[in-house]
Amino acid sequence: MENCRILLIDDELELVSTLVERLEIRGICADAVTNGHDALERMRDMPYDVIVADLKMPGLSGKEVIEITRARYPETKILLITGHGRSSHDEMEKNIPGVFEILMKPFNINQLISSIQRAVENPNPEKNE
Amino acid sequence: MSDREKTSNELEFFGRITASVSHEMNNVISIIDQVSGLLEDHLAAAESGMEIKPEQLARVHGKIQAQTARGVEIIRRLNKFAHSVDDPVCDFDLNVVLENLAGICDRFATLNRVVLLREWSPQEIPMTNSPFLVQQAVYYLLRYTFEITDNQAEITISTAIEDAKPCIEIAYPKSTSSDTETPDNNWIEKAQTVCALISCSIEYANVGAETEIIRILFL
Repeated sequence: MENCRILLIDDELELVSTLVERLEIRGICADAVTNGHDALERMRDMPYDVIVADLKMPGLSGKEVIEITRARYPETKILLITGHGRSSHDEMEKNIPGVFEILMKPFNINQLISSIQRAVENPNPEKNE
Repeated sequence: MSDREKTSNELEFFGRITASVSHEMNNVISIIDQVSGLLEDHLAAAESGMEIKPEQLARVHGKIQAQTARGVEIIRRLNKFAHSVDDPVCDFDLNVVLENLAGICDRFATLNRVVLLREWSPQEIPMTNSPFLVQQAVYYLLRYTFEITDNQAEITISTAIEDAKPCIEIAYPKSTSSDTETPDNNWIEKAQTVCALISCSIEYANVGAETEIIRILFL
């Protein structure tokens, strides 16, 4: 995990900046952006091991970011975060291929780290592959 | 329109608003949760002998206060909106009702990458009508303009009294982009249906070559 690079993408700046701070306290290197365009710019500079993207964002949606990431950076693992309910969660699992895991807001930092860890250790981009 | 269709449309509108507000509230709770977790991290570090600087605590405190204030405002708006169904017809100030709706619609604007500006009439606009249905009609028209305008467009909602009658205007810049979305929802048709119930009409106008206006005129 120490050498992993994580990118958090959510339009709630306070959320992603606090998560970055908490991950860094735990020795995990993370960056944060607040929209999909900035995320793609960052990935162009240096691909990430794991991206953690919110589903609903201004401009490029989480779904679009995932589709582009899958096409350009197949090695990058994708975690999706959402504030939607359980039914949306199930729907997303069916409709957005390439997502390793989905986290429901609010989530515990340890849940996030466990998901990142599982994603990094699993050779397949999708958990169920 | 049958009563059943009317009720169905009203519930759909109510559902869209509450879903959006609950999503926003969930974000606030998520931030407070993580910020309080950060405080826990600082305390754990202090217990293991590391110094906590007062400015670290002040920053965490400031973040919690800001999100709490945001949450209070979101709930206040939702409460006001929810109570707008209390009386089918009542007296209200159009400016007050639309300011509340605009606050709720800011999130939809942000998601569409546009900005919603307000220009309320300086004097009160007293009306006797259904505040819920007025909001429903305006909401549909706002969503329409959010979807047909370019990124970063400024959309202005304003109120006035014309010929002693209330008037609402939504002004928006014409799209110059070829890839502007076609609305996937028939917002205009829905707004027209609601307007028929609250004695108002919708008019369209151009201001110069660049701005279009939708006007809601109460009879």
